[in-house]
Amino acid sequence: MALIDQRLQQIFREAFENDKLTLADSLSPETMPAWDSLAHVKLMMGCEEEFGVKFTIEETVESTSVAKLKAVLASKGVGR
Amino acid sequence: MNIASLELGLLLLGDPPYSDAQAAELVDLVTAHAALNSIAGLTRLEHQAAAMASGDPAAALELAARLESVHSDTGCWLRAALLEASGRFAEAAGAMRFLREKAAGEERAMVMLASARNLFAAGHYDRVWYPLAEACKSSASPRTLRNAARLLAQARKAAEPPFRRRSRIALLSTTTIDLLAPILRAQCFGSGIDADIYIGPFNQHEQEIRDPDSGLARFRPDVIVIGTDWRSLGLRDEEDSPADVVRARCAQLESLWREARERLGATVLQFNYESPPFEALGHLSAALPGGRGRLLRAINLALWEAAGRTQGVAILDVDQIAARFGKDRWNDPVLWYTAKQYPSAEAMPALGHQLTALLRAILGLTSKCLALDLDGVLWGGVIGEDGLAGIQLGGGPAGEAFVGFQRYLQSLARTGVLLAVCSKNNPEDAVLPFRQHPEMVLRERDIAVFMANWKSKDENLRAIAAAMNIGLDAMVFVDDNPVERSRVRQNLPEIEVVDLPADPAQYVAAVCRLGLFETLAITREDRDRTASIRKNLERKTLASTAASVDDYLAQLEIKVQLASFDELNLPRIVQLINKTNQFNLTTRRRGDAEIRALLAAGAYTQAMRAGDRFGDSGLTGVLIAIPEGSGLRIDTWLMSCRVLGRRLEETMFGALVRYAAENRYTHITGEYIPTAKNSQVSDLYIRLGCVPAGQEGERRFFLWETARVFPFPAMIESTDLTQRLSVTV
Repeated sequence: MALIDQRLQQIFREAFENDKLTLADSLSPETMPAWDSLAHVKLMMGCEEEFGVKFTIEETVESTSVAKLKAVLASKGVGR
Repeated sequence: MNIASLELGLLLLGDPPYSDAQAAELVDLVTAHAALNSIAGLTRLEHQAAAMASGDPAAALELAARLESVHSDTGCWLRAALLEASGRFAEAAGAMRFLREKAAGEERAMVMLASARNLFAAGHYDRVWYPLAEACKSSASPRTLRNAARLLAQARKAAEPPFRRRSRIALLSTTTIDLLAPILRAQCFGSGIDADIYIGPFNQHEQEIRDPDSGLARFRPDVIVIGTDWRSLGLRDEEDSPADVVRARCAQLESLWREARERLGATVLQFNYESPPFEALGHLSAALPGGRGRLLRAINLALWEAAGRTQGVAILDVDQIAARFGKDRWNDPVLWYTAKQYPSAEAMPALGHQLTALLRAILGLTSKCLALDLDGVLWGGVIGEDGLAGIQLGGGPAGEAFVGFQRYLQSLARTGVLLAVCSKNNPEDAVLPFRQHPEMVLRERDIAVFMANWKSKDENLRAIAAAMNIGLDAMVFVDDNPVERSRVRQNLPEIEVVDLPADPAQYVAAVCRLGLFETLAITREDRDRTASIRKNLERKTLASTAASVDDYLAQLEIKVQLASFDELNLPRIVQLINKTNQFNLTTRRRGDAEIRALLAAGAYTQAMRAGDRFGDSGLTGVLIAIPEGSGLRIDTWLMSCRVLGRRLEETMFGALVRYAAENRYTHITGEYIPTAKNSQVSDLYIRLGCVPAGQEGERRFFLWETARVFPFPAMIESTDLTQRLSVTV
């Protein structure tokens, strides 16, 4: 697993309080009922803490799947 | 290759799997950057370890074995991470053992949490609690605290954590405050509080408190936190009739407090209002009579005044917490607009920390004693070597910093914190600055117990606690020597050890930041406490020369006054009920409202004040007896440890027997509920001459037939004002 996925997976595990969670690009609020607005805040916060970035309103609203979140992170220079 | 930081080195190294050459580079990297001083670096090492273990398990274990001979703290951390990622939890915990005392602050929290996590995974449940509590105490990171809360939730399914108090805490807020709950739970655990937290629906604090069927009412809170924010007041930049606005807003909250107090019986913790950092009016916002900045400050003042008039309401100074944290970071506009989060996620630990400090005060967990090393703490240099003229105290920047710290300590002592000296020194050297140095702020009279000798610090700390008659868990230890700190932490884990920074300029902040000495009120007894302990030590000297105990008591010339509870003595009574541990027959903790309810229901009460030739010990005994059938049951009986061993319990009990007889109660039932700390009164009722009268679960009962007269101890002179109020049945 690439390091970026390793780090993201850990953020997801902590946000959803599930140590068995496996990261996949397809994860989204549609495929994961637990991904509600509070979980979304936890994910965004987790990423801000882990990668030392700050999201804009638009990026926060857009990041509604692992694939989209990774794209947003990549646009901020986080690749690994 | 010379690389500036561990993080940069890891970045350059690239993703696992690693070749042998890369693994060797990694070992070089953790050898060159051996100190645990970067959270980001430690986190990255964890990820590298996890990626290696999942990619090439054999190589990961091989690297772990190789790191065993590397004497580097980061290397040790990487080894533990590799072992954890390989599922070898017990070995990982073992690798971490020596790291625990090597880091400070956030890095220490991380090591402690990892240690607790591995101990839990390895099944060593009883060893999880100490490192987990230390992580909760030293961290200000939302992530570490959230993870600590999660581990706590998992671990308590396997074993019972060592809580000192339980509290049902309701968080009602005009903003989204859900993220505070896990953080607060972790911080409370760090203070020994089992926090059962209820989160009210967003922005419905009014309905929740007023509706008798609300989720809040069903939760039966002990403490209600009312987290109102400045936006919820809906103030305009400039208001037309500011005085009316202040009065109305304050009255609205006061009426909520009344409901919370009277109907729900809860203590209220009310947030005050932050003055927001961005005002269109700028400085004028506070300068104009109707400006919002001015109004928010006026409302805050009015809230403090109102809380001062009301029992059981405390104000959390959110404006000050925000200012200390930095208002630019306290407010996160993105989180506000996307999720109505306030304050920002990163500010939650600062908020939770101060909330916990007030909860400690409410629950009677305020630390009582600050034990101080001397050289390097109260002055610079070594008195035994440098002499009076050689130590740094006043007269220069570093010397001024020590004077500043002493001023802070003296202020603490005046609010009731007991100061002790715990120093490895010749006693005659140690007292010299106190007696003769012109810049010395603290004098001998400010020190309740003075221990300067060559014994170990643990031994002296135990002796100090014994002389003050307090538990080790009420003590805080300050020493500039990390070796002494680490030894005390290992041998006396109950004691709070301050991570003293190297620079004396930072001493005040280091102690103050911990929030260990918060109280809700300062009573007369608090202000006189140091003198009282010093007198107690003089009494002990007298005791050692007296022929017998009774002879000693007679020489003390004890005078006791018993009175019923009233408005004036109630705050002190509430304080005693919530913190007394040792001479406490039932250890029932009650708030102000609950005690008033007992009074209204006709309970007989005694508040005992004791004094002797050395001085007044103040209000130090409390007894509540509740009429039950034809008798009286002693629901609560306690005495402060300051006055034990003086047969005062006989005076209190005798007065109760007399009251019962005069009011035609046939008998008195005594009750004893054992705790970890009250074994000294397990046979109290037997010693008084009562007979055992059965048991109900943990509750043991004893009986006194009122027809028997109780002999008062002759050497104690007592005035009993409680009988006067008795109504003849």
